[in-house]
Formats: sequence, structure tokens, C-alpha cells
Amino acid sequence: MKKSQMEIMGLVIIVILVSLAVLFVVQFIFLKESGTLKKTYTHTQLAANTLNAITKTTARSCKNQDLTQLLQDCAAYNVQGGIIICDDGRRSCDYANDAIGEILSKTLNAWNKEYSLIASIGSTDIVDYTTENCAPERKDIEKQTKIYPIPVPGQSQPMTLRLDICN
Amino acid sequence: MKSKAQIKMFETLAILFIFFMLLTFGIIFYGRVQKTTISQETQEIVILNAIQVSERASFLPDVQCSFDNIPVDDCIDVEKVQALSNIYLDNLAYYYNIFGFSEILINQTYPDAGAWVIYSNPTPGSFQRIQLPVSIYHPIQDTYALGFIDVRVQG
Repeated sequence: MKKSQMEIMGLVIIVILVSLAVLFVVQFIFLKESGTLKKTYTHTQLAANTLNAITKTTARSCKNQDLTQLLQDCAAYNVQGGIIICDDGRRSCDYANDAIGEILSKTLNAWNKEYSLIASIGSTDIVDYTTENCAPERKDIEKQTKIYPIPVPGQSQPMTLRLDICN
Repeated sequence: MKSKAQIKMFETLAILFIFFMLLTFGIIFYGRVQKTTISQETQEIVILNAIQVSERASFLPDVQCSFDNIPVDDCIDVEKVQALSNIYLDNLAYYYNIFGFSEILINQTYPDAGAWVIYSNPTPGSFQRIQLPVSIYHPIQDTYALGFIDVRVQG
């Protein structure tokens, strides 16, 4: 092989190596995903805080019971829709469902969050508010989950209040 | 021989020219990479600061619920909030040490609406915003409402 051909080959190899180096840099620096810290923190706190706040909230027009008590009554007497009758005539199941729906619409929905909030006892769902892209069966998306067990009088297993916030 | 020397000279000049071109491109490229990295790290620091401020606001004893001196997490006492919203301006220096340039609001959403500013010291420009649900305790009625704490931190 002629000397000049060898030199050209050398230059080509150098150009290829430099291009590969530039590609790696672009891949790992310019295209690096950022901003996951805030998302992880807010979604974790959001799930925990939302459940804590919902369970403590007082139903002022339902004998000043808190939502936990209404959910317990709904779970214990699900067939009748709960035996507590609120001031406006609604039973505990309907009142708890409506209250939780209103809370979610003013918080998670207003902030455009994808979530799934399900209160269930055994295989029965007492409350189910799930957005389109955050079905519980989906395993392909990252979720922050908070589970809150609530004992139910007269039942062998507790009710589970579960909130998933999907990324 | 003279022309051979000239050719060699041009060759050397061409190599030097290409070398310095490559060096310049390398420096510009490195500068761009550093700029992006620094900007990402600055953003991370701003976000961490926003998280710190929101944690301090959530656990501030001046507004946190407490029963028999035992604080309750994720709970804000509305009477304390109303008191703080009236006095924080007189103690801005003290609260600046805790919250810096930020704005902290308590918004009640259920069952009825309400809003209180417990700290406001913003500067013009972009900000990081964190909103977290909290229970709002009304001690006079002994009831809990639901709302959220809205933290806007400059940066």
C-alpha cells in the first residue's frame, strides 16, 4: 500500500473515533433526562398527603363524621349503601363517593395529574376514581403509591384505600 | 528545490490551519457541553431549594396542628395561619431566614373555599412551584377541611 493511502486511512480512523466520541457526549449530556427529582418528590408526597388529608376531612353535612368513618360504614353495610344517613338524605356510600370525587377534582384533576384512587374491601370496590392513563393493571408506567388500611367493624379484613400517582 | 520547499511550507501551514480549526471547534463544543451541564446542575439546586422550603412550610410549628403539644403531620391549624398572615410582615427578616425569596399560600378547597398568605417575599422572574394537599383544622368547630399548601420559590 502506498504511504499516502496509509495516511488517508489513518485520518479516516481518527475522524470516525472523533465522531463516536461526539455521539456519546450528545447522548449522555445533551439528551440526559432532567427534572426527575422534583417529580419523584412531589408525586411521593402528593400520594401520601392526599390520602392523609382525605381520611381526616370532616363531612360537615353528614353528622360531622370524618370520611374514614363514612367509608367504614359504607364497607360494613355495602349492600344497603351504608346505614349512616346524612343531613341531605344521602347514605354514607354516596356521600363519601361524592366528597372524594369533589376533592379530587379540585386537587389532582386541577393539577392535571394521572391517578388511581380505589377503596376496596376484598374484591368489592367502594370508591374508584381512575384517570385514563393510570389504570391499576398497567405495569409499564412509573407510579408512586400510598396504601392506607382502614379497619372495618365486623369484617375479618380491613378496607384498603390505595392512591397511585402516575408519572 | 525552491518550489519543493514552498510546497513543504504550504503543507505545514495547511496542517497548522486545520489543527487550530479543530482546536477551536473542540473548545466551542466543550464550552457548550459545560454550559448545559452547569445549567442542569443549577436547575437541580433550585429544585432542591424549593423542596426544602416546602418541607419547612409543611412542618412550621407556627402553623402546624398540635394537640397537647404533640404536633400532627400534614395538618395546618387555621387559627395559627390567620395569626401568622397578620404578623409575618412585621417579622419578615426572621421568616426570610427560613423561606428566602418565596411565596407560601394556604388554599382551602373542601368543603368551602378559603385562602391565606403566610409568607410573601417574591422577586420578579421564574419560580418553582410545589403544591401539596394538607388537612386544615378549624379548632373552633373541631372539624377538618381539605386544602393545599402552595409554595412558589424563586429560581
